[in-house]
Amino acid sequence: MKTNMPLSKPVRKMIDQVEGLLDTELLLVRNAEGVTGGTLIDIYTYDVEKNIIILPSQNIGLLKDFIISKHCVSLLIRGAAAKKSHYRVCSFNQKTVSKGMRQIYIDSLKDEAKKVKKLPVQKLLEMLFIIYMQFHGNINELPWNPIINSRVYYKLPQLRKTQLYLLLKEGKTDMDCSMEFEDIIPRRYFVLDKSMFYARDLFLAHTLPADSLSPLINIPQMKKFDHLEVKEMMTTRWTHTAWYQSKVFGDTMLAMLDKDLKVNWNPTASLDYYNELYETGVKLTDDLLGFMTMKDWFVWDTPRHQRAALEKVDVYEHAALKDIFGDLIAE
Amino acid sequence: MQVPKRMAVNPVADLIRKGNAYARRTKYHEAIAHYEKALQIDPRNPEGWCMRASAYIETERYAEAVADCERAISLNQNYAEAWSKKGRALYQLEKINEALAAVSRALALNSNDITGWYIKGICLDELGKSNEAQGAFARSLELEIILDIDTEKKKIKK
Repeated sequence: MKTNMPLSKPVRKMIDQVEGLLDTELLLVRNAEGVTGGTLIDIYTYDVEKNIIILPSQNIGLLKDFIISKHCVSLLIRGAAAKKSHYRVCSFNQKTVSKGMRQIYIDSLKDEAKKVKKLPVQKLLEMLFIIYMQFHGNINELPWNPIINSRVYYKLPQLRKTQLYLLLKEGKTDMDCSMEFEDIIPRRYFVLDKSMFYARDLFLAHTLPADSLSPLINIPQMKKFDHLEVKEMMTTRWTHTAWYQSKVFGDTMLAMLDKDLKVNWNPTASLDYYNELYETGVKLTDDLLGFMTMKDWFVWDTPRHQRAALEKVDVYEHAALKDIFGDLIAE
Repeated sequence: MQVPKRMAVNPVADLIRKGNAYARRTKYHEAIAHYEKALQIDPRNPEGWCMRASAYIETERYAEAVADCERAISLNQNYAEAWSKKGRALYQLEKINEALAAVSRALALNSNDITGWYIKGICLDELGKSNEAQGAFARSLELEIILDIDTEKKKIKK
């Protein structure tokens, strides 16, 4: 481990475990521009020689320790998968981008037909790829989040209060995100996006267990559904709102999380165990993609494949637009 | 008569300010050079010693950091930041009991020192006093959350 930061004992142990199990070195770096929640750049996913965790400068105590722990678990899962089986990520190619964008376009048309104020065509075209990539980001992050948080919760009980604060903050940020585009994003995608975060937060609320994590308490738009009777919820007044629909879809996703994440969160650490967590994450990702009818939107492939795909996003976007609209799109 | 602007500048404060700007950009060697110039002009400036100690800590020159903190403290016994940095440097040198004494003094002078409470927690934990350590960690977390909320608010305002 390379760092001059003071670290609490359980975090130092955690880092030792990462380095021991994966036979690798971990570098901790502080950066004033570091994003909230920190960043993990690992040798298994990126074309780098060292594993680095970049921490925001303002996190100097236990907040920093929790961020490190979370990324350590993530690194162990990726590393174990790379060493034990085949580490794959949800990547994309020209064909999958076309499929995803075409579906988003069809759903947009349904929404636009009902709108008084239509979205300008150019904006609509731009939105297709933005939404596609938003789900690419979500699906590569969200299924792993409850796995990592559950593991940290059991492995490092000293950090539970810290974890609770950061999860509350994360939950609120995710639910507030893209709110200003609520009327622009096709309803289906707005709802699915919010449902994923809703399901994650509710899963963590009863797994950790922390009642105060519940989106039904913390998210202003969802508060009205807390303790609301089924009969009341079935009235037209509620069923037409995106947030009601997010709750309905989110409850189904929560059932998936509950089913897939029946894991022993606190066994002795080993590569086999972290590889098992990886397989669990893959299964959950597949189930969520199936539920959202997005199975053919992405493809499991190597991180190298994904890096190459990310370099070709402009090409893929243009090719997909040509595929959907033909000659209406200029060369 | 107005004093010309150039004459109004305090060269020591100016050098320390420049050093701090370098330190914020993690250019610690440049920062140290500026603090040194400041200390050559005014070796009785506790802030100069304390800031150089801070840069030494970042460059892992812990023994020199302790020495600088002691110079700063000798000039101002109630300099909380110097006590805190001394504690941090001593911790890195694995002098746990001395580190604990230094941060305890820092916290008596400034009870809002997040790093101070955090180092105190680590030191107590190392000494097997885990209940007391939890108390120190809890206080550190409380202060860090307040700082984090403030930082987020500033980001939103921007």
